[in-house]
Formats: sequence, structure tokens, C-alpha cells
Amino acid sequence: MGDGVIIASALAYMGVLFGIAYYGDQRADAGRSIIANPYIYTLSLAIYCTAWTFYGSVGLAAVSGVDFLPVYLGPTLMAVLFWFVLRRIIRITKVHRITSIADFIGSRYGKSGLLAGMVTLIVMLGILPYISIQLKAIAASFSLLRQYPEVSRLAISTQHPFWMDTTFYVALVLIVFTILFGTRHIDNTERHEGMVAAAAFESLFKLVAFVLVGAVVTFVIFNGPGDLFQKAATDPDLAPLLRFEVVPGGYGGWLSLTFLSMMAFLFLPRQFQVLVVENVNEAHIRKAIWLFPLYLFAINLFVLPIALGGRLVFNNGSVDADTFVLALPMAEQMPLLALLAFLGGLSAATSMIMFETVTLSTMVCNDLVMPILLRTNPRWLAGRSDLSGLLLGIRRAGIVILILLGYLYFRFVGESYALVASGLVSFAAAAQFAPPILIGLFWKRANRRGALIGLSSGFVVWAYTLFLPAMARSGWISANFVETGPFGLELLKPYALFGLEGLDPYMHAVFWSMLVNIGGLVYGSLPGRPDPIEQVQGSQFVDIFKRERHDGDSLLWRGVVETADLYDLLARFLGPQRASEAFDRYAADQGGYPFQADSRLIHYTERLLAGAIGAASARVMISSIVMGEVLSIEEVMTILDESTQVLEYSRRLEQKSRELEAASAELREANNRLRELDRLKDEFISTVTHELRTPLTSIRAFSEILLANPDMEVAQRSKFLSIIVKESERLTRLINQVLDMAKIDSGRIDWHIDDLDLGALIQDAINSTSQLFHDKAVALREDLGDERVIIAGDRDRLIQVIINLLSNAVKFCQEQGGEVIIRLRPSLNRWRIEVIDNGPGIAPDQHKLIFEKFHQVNDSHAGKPKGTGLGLPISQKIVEHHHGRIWVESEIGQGATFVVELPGKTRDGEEARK
Amino acid sequence: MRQQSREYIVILFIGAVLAINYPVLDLFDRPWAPFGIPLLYFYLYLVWLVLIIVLIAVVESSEIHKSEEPPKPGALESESVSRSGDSSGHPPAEPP
Repeated sequence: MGDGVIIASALAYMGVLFGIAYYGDQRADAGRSIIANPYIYTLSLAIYCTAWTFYGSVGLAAVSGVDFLPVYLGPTLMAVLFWFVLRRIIRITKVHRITSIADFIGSRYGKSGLLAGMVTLIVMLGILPYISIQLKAIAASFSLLRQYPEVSRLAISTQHPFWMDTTFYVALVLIVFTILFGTRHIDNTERHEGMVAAAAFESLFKLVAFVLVGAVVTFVIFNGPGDLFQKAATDPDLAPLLRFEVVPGGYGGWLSLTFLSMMAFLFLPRQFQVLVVENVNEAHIRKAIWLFPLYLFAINLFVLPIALGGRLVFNNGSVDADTFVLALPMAEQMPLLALLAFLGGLSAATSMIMFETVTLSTMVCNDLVMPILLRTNPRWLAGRSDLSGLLLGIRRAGIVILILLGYLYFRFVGESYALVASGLVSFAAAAQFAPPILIGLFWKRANRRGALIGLSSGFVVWAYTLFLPAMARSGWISANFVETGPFGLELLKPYALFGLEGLDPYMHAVFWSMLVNIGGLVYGSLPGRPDPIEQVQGSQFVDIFKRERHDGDSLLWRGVVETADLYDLLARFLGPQRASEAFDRYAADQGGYPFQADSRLIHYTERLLAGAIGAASARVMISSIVMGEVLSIEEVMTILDESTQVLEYSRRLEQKSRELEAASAELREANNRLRELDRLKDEFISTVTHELRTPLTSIRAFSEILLANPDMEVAQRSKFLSIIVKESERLTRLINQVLDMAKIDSGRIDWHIDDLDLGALIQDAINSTSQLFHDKAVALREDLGDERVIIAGDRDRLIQVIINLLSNAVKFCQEQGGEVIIRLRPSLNRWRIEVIDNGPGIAPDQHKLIFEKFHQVNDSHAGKPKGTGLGLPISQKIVEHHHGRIWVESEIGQGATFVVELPGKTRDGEEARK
Repeated sequence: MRQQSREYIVILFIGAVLAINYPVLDLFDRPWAPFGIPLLYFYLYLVWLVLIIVLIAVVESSEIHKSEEPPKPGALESESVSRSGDSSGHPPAEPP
């Protein structure tokens, strides 16, 4: 295949990418982001899958079988924990305007510029192998593809000088593209929407390319996975690849690789950039939690088939396993597929290099160069009015230097290494950031001293156990260094430090570096008292979800500065236009700004500056113009805690007011009830007095007659006297009933609940009313059944009810042929007592009213009322107290039936209740 | 996310770590090949897929709790106003 075709398609592909990035930036500027959805976010995370994945996984699987998987299982496990870890980091980053992983660690430990610079240095050194393998992959795939249709192993030679080296030109092209992509302007958020869009596209592209090659290998070159595995299993060289035994380091190596990948996935600078800094919306995490593992699953599905297929097809070892993805389509004479595979690998490599170097150059600028300039040469800086050009220049230079360093590493160190081995060195470097970040997220007391000790010793161990041996392998240091230890000291052998043998190099390095890193962090943090700013930042980071107020760091100064000075400062770094835009926004939001800047405006400016030059540098700049006393740590913490407490108070207050509302509603209701009762009581009293007056009047009238006529006839006198007696009796009865009523109403009555024979009770009632029946010549028929009916109740009260009903029945019976029937019968598990008379009956609209106090059926037919009007209400109260019911069934002219229904005793003695 | 979902996620994580490491993994390192695929691979990919499916079930079924919503722009956070003119967080327009 001609160089022209390959280069043209590669450039066309890059052109498409650039178009996407440009479009993404345009849309972002127009305020209509194309990356603000969880799918683009998830795809952008997949820049984790670099050329290492695309080529290296196959290369590793061809030698070590299943060993490639932990690199993807680790991130899958980390994705499960996204909601706990990543969300916290994102929230902190947004609140504190953090722009990179160095900035994050620096900010956490008291805006330490030293720590941020150290992180940047570690990243620069640690990431070089990683960049170099991307360059190597591009160059190797290019060299292989241009041989088409020939497929052969060739050394991408470093023998000839660099200006004849393809890799060098690849690096140059990448430098140009990266500068075009990543450093078009200084943004006060360090977000690159266009690049994210391009990275998402690249992720999709490499996935499609890889899966397509895998499918062709599995189903076209071989007859499905069954056939492929069958052939591999019968090959004595390949059969071990299907088992665990080929994994270097065994289960320990497997575990340490999983751990490394988990940490690297979060803490490689470009991963931190896409995961955290470029995150548009926290809610996107939810989708990414499962979608990203699914992506990893898909891109890993065909790794082993391609590896085994490559081993089977090139069984003489003529082709480097790292290039199987490309070599297999070539060997099968599929030029288009080969070209697609090449572009897939290209996209994997370029997206990594671009993102990594842009991120790193920002870190180098913000956390390394600017702080040094600010400290060493502030006058020179002060003389310049617009520094945004300087910032851009530093970043562009950073990109050039980083990619060229990656190229140098490749040329002088990396060539002797497989892709994966170099990548793991970088992973182990990134894992050094895990302790200061993860522990710093949950442990307030972790302080700058601890982080410095831990990080530096972890880095030294990493360099000693992984980086230097890599140099030794390529001949830069004597190989004796690895074999026998430095100066022949066996105990210091880098792969078996202090005699720890039997681990694979990565597990060995992970163990020692994590031990000293975590140990150093804890050891350094325990004693002593951290600075105010460290305490504030630690507290703000750990309590990110608890606090409403996130400006504790700015409270540390209460200095005096004029607004114009702040504006000048901002304008120097962001350019006058952006600065005035920012101040206009502040004015619009706050209703203008004061002449003397308050702490709010200082804070606002510091955050904006932090976005451009990092938190540590921003603090230095602000403190250089803000003069004045400093709040003590106690005061700051009090302010922060106050806002937390205020929040808590307002929550409690809300709850209290809700409770109060409920209580007042209850009170209102109770009051209404009371008023109603009061009204009823008044009514009751007036009715009672009225009722009392009637008999009293007649007693008095007759007594006066008797008094005035002492010589009255005996017959007349005894008639009058008997009226007086009767009226007195009525009076007594009335008073008794009123007393009863009052007792029942107020609950002061004593109930004597016993087991009663209901039949006998009714019989007693009949006996005591027999005189009434006799007097009025009313017939009484009993129908009580034979069964012994036992209920629980108050004997005297129930008799009172029945007597009342019977005497009512007698009262209202016809004069002639009056008849009353009393009946006792079961009804479900209750008992019914019916008292039936053949009197005038009661109109249906009266059925309820007659149970009201002093209500009497008082119409022309009935004539003078015959009762007190309290009998039925009292009966009702008594029956209800026994959990029973009382009602009347009647029609005018049809007589009336009063029914009492009482719960019977069930067998186990319980009262059956409704 | 509800408390229950959080518990599920922690359980899921622990379960997944146990499932893909020694000694459970060793149980599946056998010469047998279901559906023609070596057991070790079959098992690892199956665990992976099941993990993803369970994650979907847990995450998609849970509601975002109110207190977990990101802070609203403008409220106490003066800089969030500058971060974006609108809620989706775009950088302000580049000067021409």
C-alpha cells in the first residue's frame, strides 16, 4: 500500500477530528453544548483505551493469556464506586474551580504550590513511557502497513538518524494538531469541549474498528470462536494460554494489576481531566456507571480471539504480537480492513497523546512554571499588562517539550519494551496520587506535611523499583544494577527490595510504594498542628456534601484592596475583555461592586484566577495585592460551622413550624367541639329547667288550692294529693335521669361489668314493669327462647334500658287491645332484643331524633308528652357503652319496634366487637 | 440515590472483587470448555456481563435524592455564575 494512501487517509481522519472539535467549540461558545449528555461523557472516558488497548492487549494475550483483563476489570470495579468517589471529587472540583489533578492535590493540602509542583513533576516523568508507546504504536503500525501485501516483523529502527525516522514526523504532526486543538485560547475553566467531542468520536471509531477486525478474525478467518479455541487447545504452545498458569505473578500479580488499573483509571492526568474537569453534569455519572463497563466489555470481547488467531496464522513467530490487529487483515489480503485497523489504532493513540499533553501542559504552566515565575521574578511579571499570551506560550512550549520527550524516551529507552510493560510503569506512577487524594477526601487531618512525605517517598520507590530498572534494561544504567543491586548490595536489588522476592515487578513496586506513601501520609499528618489554610481546605474537602458555604479559604483574609486593583490583576491573566466580562457578570449578579473590594469579590477573583493559573498561584497573586490582617483559624471555622448550623437550625425550625401548624389545627378543632358542647349544655340546662318547671308548677298549683280550701271534699282532696304525689315522682325521676345523663356524659359513672344471663335479666325487667302492664291492661308476650345467653355487662344499667323500653311501649300502646312483644334472638355473633308495640308508630324522620335529649314525639295525636325525654338517650348511652346498638323500626300506624343489639360472649370468653 | 441502592452498590463491589480473584477464580481454572469457550474466559466475561446488568438494574431504578443534586448556580456560589452563563456550564464566548 502506498505511503500516499496511508498518509492521506490518516490526515483526512485527523481533519475530520479537527472538524468535530471545531464544531464542538463553536457550539460550546454558542451555549449549546454537544457534550452535555451522558453518552458523550461515557465515550470520552474511553480515552482510557489507548494504543495499549488496541495493540498491546492482543500482544499481551498472545503471551500471557488472560493477563490483559485486570487492566479493564479494575476500571469496571472503579465504575461501581463512581457514586461514592467520583461524585465527591467532581463536586469539590466544581466548587473550588480546580483545573487538574495537581491543582486538586495542591488545593486539598492548603493550596500548596510545592505539592502541586511535585505532582506535576511526577506526572511528567511517569507519563513519558506512556506517551512513548503511543508514538511507537503509530510508527510501528505505519511501517507495517506500508509493506502491504508483505507482512513481516521489522524493527522500527532507531539506527538511522531522527530526520529519517517516521516516528519523529508522527510526533511533529501530533504537536501541531495538539496545539491547534488544545491551546487556542486561555479559558477560565480549563475545559475543552471540542476536544472532548473529538475524543468521544475517536472512542467510537476505535471500538468499531477493533470489533470489526475481531469479528472478521473470529468468523471469517476461522469458523467462529468454537473452531478458534478448539485449534488453540490442540496446539501445545497455545493450550497454556487458556489457563491461569501463564499469568506472570499468579494471583498476586493479577490482584495488583487490578488495583493499579483502578487507581490509574481515576488518577492518570487525562482521566482526571475527562472524568472530573470536563464533566458537565454530575448526573451523567449515573449512566457512565454501567455504560462505561459495557464499553470495556465490548472492546475486550475479541482480544483473545485475535491473539490466538495471530499465533495460529503466524505460527513461526514472524510477526510481533503487538501488531496482530493490523497484520491479520493484511495477511488475509483485506487492505480496507487493514486501513481501518490502522486508523483505529491511530485514533486510540492520538486521543491519548492530545489529551494527556494538553492536560499536562496546563499543569506544567499553572503548577510549575508560573509559581516559579511569580516567586523569582515578580517585577518582570508586574511590568506586563496582559499575561494571557504568556500563559498560552508556556502551554504550547509544554506540549512541544512533552511530546518530544516522549519521542526521546521511545528512541532511547522504550524500544526494548512491549507496549504493556511501558504502560504499567506509568500506571504505577499515577497510582501514587491515590493515597493523598482518596485519604484526603475522607480524613480531615491529613495535612501537607504528610502528603509531601508520602508522595515523595512513594515516588522515589516507584522510580527505584520500576523506572530505573527500565533505564537499565535499555543500557543507560549498568544491567548489574538490576541483577545484583547497586554496588553489589543484594538487599537493594530494585526487583527484590530488602529481600522481598517472588513477586512480579509491578506487584513488588505497588507494595513498597503504597506502603511508604500511605505510611508517610499518616506519619506526617499525625503530629503537629496544621496551618489554618490547611485546616480550612481539609474541612471543606471532606465535608463537601455537608456545607453550604465553600468560601472558607477566602475568609482567611480580611484585607483591604481596591476593586480596580483586582480588576487589573485579573485582566493581566485573562486579558482585558474576559476580565471585564467577568466583572460585569459579578456586577449584574450582585448589583454592582464596591470601591473597596469585600471578601466576596476577592474570593470571586481568586476563583477566576485559579481557573487560569491554578489555586496555589492564584493565592500568591491575590495575597500580593491584598494587605491586611488575617482571620484566625478559629474564626474561620466558626463562620463555616455557623453556616452549617444555620442550615441545621432552619431545618429544625421548618420542622417545628410544621408541628405547630398541626397542633394549632388540632386545637382549632378541639375548640370548635368545645363550643358546640357548650352550646348543647346551655340548651340542655334550659330544657331541663323547663322540664322541671312543669311538674313543679302543677305541684305548687294544687298545693295552693289545697291550702286555700281546708274544707275541701275528701274525694277531691285525695285526687289532688295523688296528682301532687305523681308529679313529685315525675320530678324525682326526671332529676334522677338528669343526674344519670350527666354522670354518663362526664364518664364519672361506675360500670360493674359481669357475666350476665340475658334471659334472666329481661325476665327481671318484665317483673318490675308488670304492674304497668296490668294497670293499662296491655298484654305482654315473651319470646325469649330456651338458650342460656351469657353476655358481659352492667346488670343494673341493662335492666334500666329494658325497663325503659317496656314502659315506653306500654305508654304508647293503644288504649284497647294493646299488645307488646319482647323477643330475644341471635344475630350473627350478637344478640338482638326487640320490643314491639302496636301503638301509633313513629314517622321515619323522627327515628334518629327520638334518641336526642328531651326530644319527644309531640304531635296532635299523641297529646301531652308522657315521658321525660331522657329515657332513650340514656338507653342509647348505656347500650353504646356495651359496644352495642339501639335503633327503632317503625311506620306511622304500624306500631314501633325498638331493637337493642348487644355483642355476645364468644367461646374463648372474648367480647365479640364489631 | 437511595440508601438501599448505595448498599447494593457496596455489596456489588465486594462481590465482584471476590468473584474475580483468588480463590474463587481458581475454581474456574479448568480445562473444560462450555460452548467451545475455555471455562476461565467464559467465567470472567460472564461475571463481567452480570455485573453490568445488575448495575443497570440498581442505578436505573434509583431516583436521585434531592440533597444529591448539584448546587444551583448563583446560590451562595458567586463563581458558579461566572462558570457559565447558563446551567449547562459552557465557557463564555471567546473574544474575536
